[in-house]
Amino acid sequence: MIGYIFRRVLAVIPVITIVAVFVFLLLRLTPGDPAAIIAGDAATPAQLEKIRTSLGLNDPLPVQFATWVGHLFQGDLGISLISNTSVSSMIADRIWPTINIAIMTIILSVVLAVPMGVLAAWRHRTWADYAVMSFSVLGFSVPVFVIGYIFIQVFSIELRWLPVQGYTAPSQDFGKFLSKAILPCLTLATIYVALIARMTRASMLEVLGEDFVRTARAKGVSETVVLFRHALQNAAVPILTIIGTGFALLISGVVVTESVFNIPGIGRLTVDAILARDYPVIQAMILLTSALYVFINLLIDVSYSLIDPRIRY
Amino acid sequence: MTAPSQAVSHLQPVLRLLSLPKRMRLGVGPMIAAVVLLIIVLASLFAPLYIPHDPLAIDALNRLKGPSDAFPLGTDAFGRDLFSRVVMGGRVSLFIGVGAAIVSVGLGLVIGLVSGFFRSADAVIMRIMDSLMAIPSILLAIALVALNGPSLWSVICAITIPEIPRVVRLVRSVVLTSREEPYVEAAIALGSSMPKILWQHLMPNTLAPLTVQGTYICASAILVEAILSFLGAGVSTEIPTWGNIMAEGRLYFQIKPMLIFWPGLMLSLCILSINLLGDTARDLLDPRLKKREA
Amino acid sequence: MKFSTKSFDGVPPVLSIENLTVGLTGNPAAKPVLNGISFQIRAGETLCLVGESGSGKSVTSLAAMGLLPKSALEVTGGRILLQDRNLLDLSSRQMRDMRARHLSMVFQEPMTALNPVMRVGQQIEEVINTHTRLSQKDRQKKVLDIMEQVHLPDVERIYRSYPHQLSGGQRQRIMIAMALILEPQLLIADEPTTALDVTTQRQILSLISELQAKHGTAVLFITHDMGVVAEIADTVQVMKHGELVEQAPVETLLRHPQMDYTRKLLQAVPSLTPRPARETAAAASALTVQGLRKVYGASGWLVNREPTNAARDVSFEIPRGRTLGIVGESGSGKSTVARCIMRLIDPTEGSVKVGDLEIATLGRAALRPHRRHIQIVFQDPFRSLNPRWTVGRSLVEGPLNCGQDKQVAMAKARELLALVGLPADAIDRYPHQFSGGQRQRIAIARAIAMEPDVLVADEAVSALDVSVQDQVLKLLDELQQKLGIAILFITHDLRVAAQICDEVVVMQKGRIVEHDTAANVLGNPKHPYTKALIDAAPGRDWDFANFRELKAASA
Repeated sequence: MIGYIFRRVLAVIPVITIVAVFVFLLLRLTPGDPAAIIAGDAATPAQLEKIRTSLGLNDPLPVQFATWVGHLFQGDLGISLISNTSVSSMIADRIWPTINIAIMTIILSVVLAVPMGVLAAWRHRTWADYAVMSFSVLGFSVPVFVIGYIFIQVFSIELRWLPVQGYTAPSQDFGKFLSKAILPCLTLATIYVALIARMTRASMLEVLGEDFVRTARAKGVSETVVLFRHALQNAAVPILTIIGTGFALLISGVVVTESVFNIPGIGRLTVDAILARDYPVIQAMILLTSALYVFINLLIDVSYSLIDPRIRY
Repeated sequence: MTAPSQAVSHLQPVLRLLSLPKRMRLGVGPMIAAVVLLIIVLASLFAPLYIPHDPLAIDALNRLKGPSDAFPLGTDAFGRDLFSRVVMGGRVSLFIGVGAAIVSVGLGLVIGLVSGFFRSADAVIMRIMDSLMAIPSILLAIALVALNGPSLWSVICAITIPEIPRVVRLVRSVVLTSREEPYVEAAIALGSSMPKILWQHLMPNTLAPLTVQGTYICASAILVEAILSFLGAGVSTEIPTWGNIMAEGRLYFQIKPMLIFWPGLMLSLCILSINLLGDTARDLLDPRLKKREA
Repeated sequence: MKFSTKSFDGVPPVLSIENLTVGLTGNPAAKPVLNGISFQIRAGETLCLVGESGSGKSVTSLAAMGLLPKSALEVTGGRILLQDRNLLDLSSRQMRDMRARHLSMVFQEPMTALNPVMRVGQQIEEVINTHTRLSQKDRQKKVLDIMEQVHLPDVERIYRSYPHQLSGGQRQRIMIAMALILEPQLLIADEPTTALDVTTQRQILSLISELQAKHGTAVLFITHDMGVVAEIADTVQVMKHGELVEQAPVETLLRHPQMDYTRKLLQAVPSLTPRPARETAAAASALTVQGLRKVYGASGWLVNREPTNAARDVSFEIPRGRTLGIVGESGSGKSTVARCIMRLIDPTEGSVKVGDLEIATLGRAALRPHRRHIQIVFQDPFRSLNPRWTVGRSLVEGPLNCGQDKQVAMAKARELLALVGLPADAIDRYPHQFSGGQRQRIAIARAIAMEPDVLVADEAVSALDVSVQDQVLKLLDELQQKLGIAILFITHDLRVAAQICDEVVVMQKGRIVEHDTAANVLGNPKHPYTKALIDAAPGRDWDFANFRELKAASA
């Protein structure tokens, strides 16, 4: 067990390394002068020179990489070109709204999607199945921001049930936080629910065809027990996997949703950085989210061995 | 048991009529999807032949107008004809979708075959693919576009790169499972060379799942393009796409929601149709599902 | 042979099936899967339902349990009476209450029939929880008690084990414990020993009889194996294409079968008497294996596993035109040997010579031109042909690799199809258009097309019904006489080995324990393991094909 976890953790190292190299090279290998790209067309030579020094673009590539990685290990993600403050402190300032919204979304999605998928598989080829599948296809087909605007139009502008935009920290006023966070969460959850429900259904359909499910029925246990005690646990590994890989979708969704709902999280930070070509921030965000993705999937990998006793090598 | 089955037997002729060519039957949903998609594709392809205005022609007198005879869907903030822009935008969006699907499936197939069959290459390739998967696709695309400029090709490239690992994984898993099949071992015993086995026995097994995957990539590419445009990192607005029409429209969202509604509707309908057809193809092609129903 | 002679006159029936008809769901026009089946099982009786694949044996049992897959099959007529209740009238809730309490079932595949993520003790306990209200202590006591009754060792430990930690036989004991814990009146056993080795099969069969006698359970036993029937049945029902063909007490049926189909079925059962010895001409050796060894499980960085010897010190020789059988139970290493000889895996050490050519050490590329000398036929006829290729394309794949002209190869393929008894138009058809037996003929034709010196048949008839098995064995024999091929025949089935082999090698745990002529190994075994194997072969004293006792081993 310990050995298994240890090997999983070790396997993460090359992945993170390749990501880091990739992120590093993204700017450096772009055709043309990176400084000119960052500064835009109207830059003066002095501005260009300032960017070059601040990014260390004048050094040879290996030196640049070594310096960069060295700084990373000290938690130094660089200095923003626009605000001149450290990127790590900028991220620290903006990360909480994003984390709150993301956690609420994940919980909401799993709670909604898993029962939907189970129902669809159990009632395969009935109206319930078709309804779940239709919702799931629809969730994949409408862009996140369109969903967001539809929600705003309906719930905030027409019905006036909820505020249009903005964010309040839960520590400040929990009621306000909820009323402002509910639409962004629903928006974000749409595609995530579609994804998880779909995978739950597919995985359950497969498991429900297996012999041990027939054995359970032959024992005379009720359908609820068959579905949730026998089938779901066996179907769980692919479902967990999709929750993990779907995390990438969630990050993309966060970036868009925070813009639509005007939430001061790291998604907005990223968009602003792109518009301003604030390269250190973009670079830090890609690295941070990739690392988060790898870490979450590592946790999920390890959790397989808790669910399935056969995975313990 | 007997009473209900008698009642059913009266209905049988009707039921049989409805389900007559059972294998051929597409179902209502996929049928509608196919028709909708066909209309969208034809309307976009032939758009230059019938659009009433130049989609780029600015008309300062007719800004943000409602629908009229001259402007079937009204005008945008620059007085450009929304209808013309939406149908012309479809051409570009569809091109991006199909282009991204073909490029990522093609590259993914080659890399996946190599990875599935040559153990030495496998470890390295899969680590690189894992890393590419870890980078959130939207962020990667944004960075690429921000650095390379908002051209059509950099958008396609930005959409393709994150999709490749998924295709590679799919191809590789098909190769890994089918190389254990006795007929592949028989081919080895018959003295067939590795490249021949790879191409003639294993590659055809990947085509069905790749077709399905291709439709999903096509749909998601159109979606990602829209999101990129929305975030200000898409194709420049001189080339209208569904995405950048909506992106421009969002500033006037509260005054004139139709600027987002129409391109959004077209885009959603289009993606919905492609996804539905993809699902149908998957159900038809998935041998496991077939077995269960047999 | 001692048959059961219990009399059931006047014993009331536990299960009566009356005129049961099962059809495809929503397709009343199709031929029914079960067509008007009627029979009874009385308390304490064992009724064997025998038939080839597709005869409807399993459908009958699933119908009785109310477990037919609803989307595919439905009962369209008849009654299933358990004592006096018609099970078909019950609601699904009432039916659930009946299961395990009044009737229960054991399935074929012990490997997949248990929930892999749940401890087996809990899986047994679930039966009690579902149907009774007992205290935690009583439940556990009852579970441990039934586990003792099915003779599981170290029950406390096994109670906490997961299925993958147990052997196939142990898992089947768990299944039986689960089925019998509430002492149902009827036990349905659907091929419960088919997936097990003979020695394990024997233990499970005697366990079922023991518990049956103890609890007075009626048993509906489904099998395709006449040997098993002879061992355990009181009464036999023969089924074919969804209909009952013949019913009789076991001895009557085996001695005096009335219907042609029953006679045919019995005549196809291979005899345990070895084939008459052929003179071992001083023919040159076609295949020589010396000191073959295969070790699995490298100990890499952070992985510390004991290396397993899948095969060690395996040596034998097959002259041209002769057949050598390798017999053993699962895990004995017989397939490993076959795959090493084919070089589908690389042997760790030892020598494999085809004619005079050493192939064990050749590199992959250097080996390729020599592959044609040694060919293989696999077990599963449904997976050994590429489903996307026409039969013709599969047949010429090898010859084309050897540089033969396509036209010539196709003409040859047609001849081969005739040789293996398939019509000429088969060449343009696809594998799914053929039955299992026909596909196995195609696979044989594909191997023969290379004009090999050695043919390896890896359980090549194990997936086939006995009547088809018989035909394929005859075909192999014929081809051998015509072409003079040496055959290495891998099988777990002693009866099959007796039919085709000149020499038999018995393997256990990767080693050869006995190697002699077929007559000596089967008639006069020396090694205790061989003795145990022969002893466990069900119905070994009965000559099925001639409807009489086997004339003692002295023959």
